[in-house]
Amino acid sequence: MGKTENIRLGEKTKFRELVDNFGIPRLIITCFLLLLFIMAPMVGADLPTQLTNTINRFSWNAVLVLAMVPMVHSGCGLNFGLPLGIISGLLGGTIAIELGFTGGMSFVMAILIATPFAILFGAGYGWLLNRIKGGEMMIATYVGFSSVSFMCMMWLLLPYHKEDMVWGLAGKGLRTTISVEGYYSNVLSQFMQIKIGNLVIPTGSLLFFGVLAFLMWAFLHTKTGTAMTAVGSNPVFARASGINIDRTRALSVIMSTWLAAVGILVYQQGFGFIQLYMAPFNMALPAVSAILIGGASVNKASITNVILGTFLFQGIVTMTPTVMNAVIHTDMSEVIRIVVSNGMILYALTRKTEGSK
Amino acid sequence: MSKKHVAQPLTGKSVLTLIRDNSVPIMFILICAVCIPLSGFSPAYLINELMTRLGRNAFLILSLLIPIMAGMGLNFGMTLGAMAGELALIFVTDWQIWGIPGIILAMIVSIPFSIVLGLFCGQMMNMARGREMITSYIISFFMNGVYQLIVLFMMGSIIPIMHASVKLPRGYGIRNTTSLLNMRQSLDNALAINIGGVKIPVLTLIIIALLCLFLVWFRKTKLGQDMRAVGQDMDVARDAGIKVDRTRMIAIVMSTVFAGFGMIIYLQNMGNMATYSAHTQIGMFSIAALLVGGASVEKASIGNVFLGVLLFHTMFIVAPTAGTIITGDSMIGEYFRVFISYGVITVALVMYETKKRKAKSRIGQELARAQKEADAQ
Amino acid sequence: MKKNGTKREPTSKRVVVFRVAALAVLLIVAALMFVIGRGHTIYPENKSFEYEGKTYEAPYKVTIWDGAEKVGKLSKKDRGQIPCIGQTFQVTVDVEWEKGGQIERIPFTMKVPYGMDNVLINVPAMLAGLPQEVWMEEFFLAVEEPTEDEDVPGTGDEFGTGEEFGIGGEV
Repeated sequence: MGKTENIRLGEKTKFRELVDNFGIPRLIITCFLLLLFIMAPMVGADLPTQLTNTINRFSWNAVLVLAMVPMVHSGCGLNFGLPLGIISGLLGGTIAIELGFTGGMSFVMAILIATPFAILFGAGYGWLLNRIKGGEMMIATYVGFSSVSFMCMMWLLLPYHKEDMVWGLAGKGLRTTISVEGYYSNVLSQFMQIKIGNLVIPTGSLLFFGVLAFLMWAFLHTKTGTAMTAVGSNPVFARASGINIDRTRALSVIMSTWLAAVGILVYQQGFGFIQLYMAPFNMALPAVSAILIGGASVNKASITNVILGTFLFQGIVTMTPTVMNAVIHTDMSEVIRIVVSNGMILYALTRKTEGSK
Repeated sequence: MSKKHVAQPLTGKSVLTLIRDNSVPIMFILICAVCIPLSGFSPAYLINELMTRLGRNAFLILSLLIPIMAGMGLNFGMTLGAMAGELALIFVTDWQIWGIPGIILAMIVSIPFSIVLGLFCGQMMNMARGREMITSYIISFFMNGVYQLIVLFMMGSIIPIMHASVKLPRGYGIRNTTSLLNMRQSLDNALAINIGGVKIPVLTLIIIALLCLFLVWFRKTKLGQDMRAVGQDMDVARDAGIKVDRTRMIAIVMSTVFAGFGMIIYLQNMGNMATYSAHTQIGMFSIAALLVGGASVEKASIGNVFLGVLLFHTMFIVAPTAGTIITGDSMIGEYFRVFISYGVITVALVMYETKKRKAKSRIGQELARAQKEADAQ
Repeated sequence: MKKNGTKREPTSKRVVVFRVAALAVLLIVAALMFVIGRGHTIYPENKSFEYEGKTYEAPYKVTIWDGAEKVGKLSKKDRGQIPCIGQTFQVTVDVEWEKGGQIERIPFTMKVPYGMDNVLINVPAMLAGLPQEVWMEEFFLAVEEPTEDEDVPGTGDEFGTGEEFGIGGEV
């Protein structure tokens, strides 16, 4: 009699533990998404098409979310300064087009050109963050904003001449949105595409993300990688082991910036347009929110978080309008997106974390 | 602004420190000095514009002072107060209450909204100890979603709105622009004086002065002293028996209520309200203005508010025209002033954090030295 | 986690009284504002009026004064628009019955019913001294369509940070 009671008690705590680990908000969001998927065919939405849309958006955004990981590991918190990396990517893309590359080559060149920018910006940004340990997130946000607004001025002044990119009348100054058709549009997603009826899987993009994710995972298991994790979780121990904290943190910032640059290029090839001027403003918060939805916290993030989080977030973004519109005949998707994403970040910020700053 | 100068020779080092401490206002004075002649605006025009903007924005910026006093940094959550003010205005407009009575009613109605929002914000900030600023920043976005939920979906359907002219054509939800024509500038015009082409909104200025007097008096009350103690050092305050969480909460609630009033003053001057976007920019610009006036994340005075309004808004007015003249592109000036606003906040935040770290390391060094001396004995 | 002090002191009676009094003051002021701030728009109309078989002709010109300020000038068939705050509408009406004729100065006071937003007043009928319900009626404006409107504001930004930009925004 006592034994069965004990077993039941043990099971209960294990289940509770699982739920607690997964997190109530995450549970709610997953259930909500499942509900949307179930309801989709019932309201007449074509499930394979919806799935395709979700997977597409996943493939566009995943690398940007991946960019969060290095800085979380090294204790710099969530990278609200993602726009800095995005700008490097934008510079890479626009310069590649300006120099005349087309097709798949333009994508490769874009990444190559973006890299020195990313390293430069990342180094500066990392230096700044090292001087303000403890207040990274707030300053990151504003560094991001300042640089985006600074670049707004630059996009108007820099000497770009390519017809596809500049304003027709004036002949100078970049346009707000530039189509990448003919350049690197769908370069990755059409590579080895798999079509099953209405379901289209952009294998190329997924493979690209997979390679980067694998490299990240591998890196985190190298000596430098483990040092990075140590710096974030236990700085005293790290210093005692002789690890140069500032250098490691700067490295994580550079990695994050570079991944953001690549990430925005992947996004553009899927989305089809380069968005300049004020567009990068909004791009940090979705990535932050996605990784948090995936299970990460301010000082803990894994690749699984990235994959799960991006899928859940993009799933909600894709499915809510279609399903909601059909059911309530109102487009509440905008409001739901805002509440869910920001609510998630709020939840993460107000959690008591071990070894919090 | 309370430097008592003992007669000291003006050494090179002290001048340097003076410049460094006030670098942001000085930088702004330089920018304005360059841009004003470039823009070609007449002094009369500038003074008139500044007078209007002073009356419009000062109250909002003053509401930021209390959280800084309580050590909670820049209250990005003032947007919540602005939302409360907007909700109140929507109701008062629907109830057709005009003029100054309408404004007073709106302020009264905004109080319960502000209190609820302020309590939520304060609670979240208490739970996110050490990360207050970014938390209040995210709260303002989160609440924007909730605000849209209420104003775009619940008003007209669940919440009764009588006038179709306020609602969207579809029958529920408020229109993008809410006309405040019937109370437009009621406060400003009430006792306005015109001196040489400059309109001075006397009543508005009196209200602002009252708030300043209130703030000065408040600092001396027990609650005010408690807040200052909490702002200096939370642990010491707690040991002294002050209820830290509650004090911080009260600081945020007060700030939110004042922000609500400030938003109503702001909107009555504008005459109409961009229902869904009026509050989003206001937080950032108010904070930028305060910082430009020489305030920092941990110290802000009434003088900073007025100096900030003066410098920041002058820049705001002249930058677009100056930018067009320098570069020939009309958008440059607009982007420039946005860049400056964000840049100023970034600089202030960096200075704050670096100072915090230096103070911490200095304490650490002193502790280490004391330890060594104790060991040596 | 939340309690800082060990024991909450009982809220003193003075504080409670003070809080209740403050709340009462606010409510009273609010109620007052409701009454004295209620806005109405009065539309005086200078059209000839038929009632119980009699026709009341419209005067040639009617000028309406609010103190020293001219708030309305109506020729035959004109309709004016006068904002009025509060429950009492008090003006002076200068009536010129015939062109070039003598101008009759008539003070006019009216209690505006609280519920009416827009009130139409027929001037000739009012001048003839007919009862108030005859020449006053509620006026319903056609609702203007919004000039530029998007159904859902916040066009597609994922985070509603769209208007944070400050571009072209005034502060």
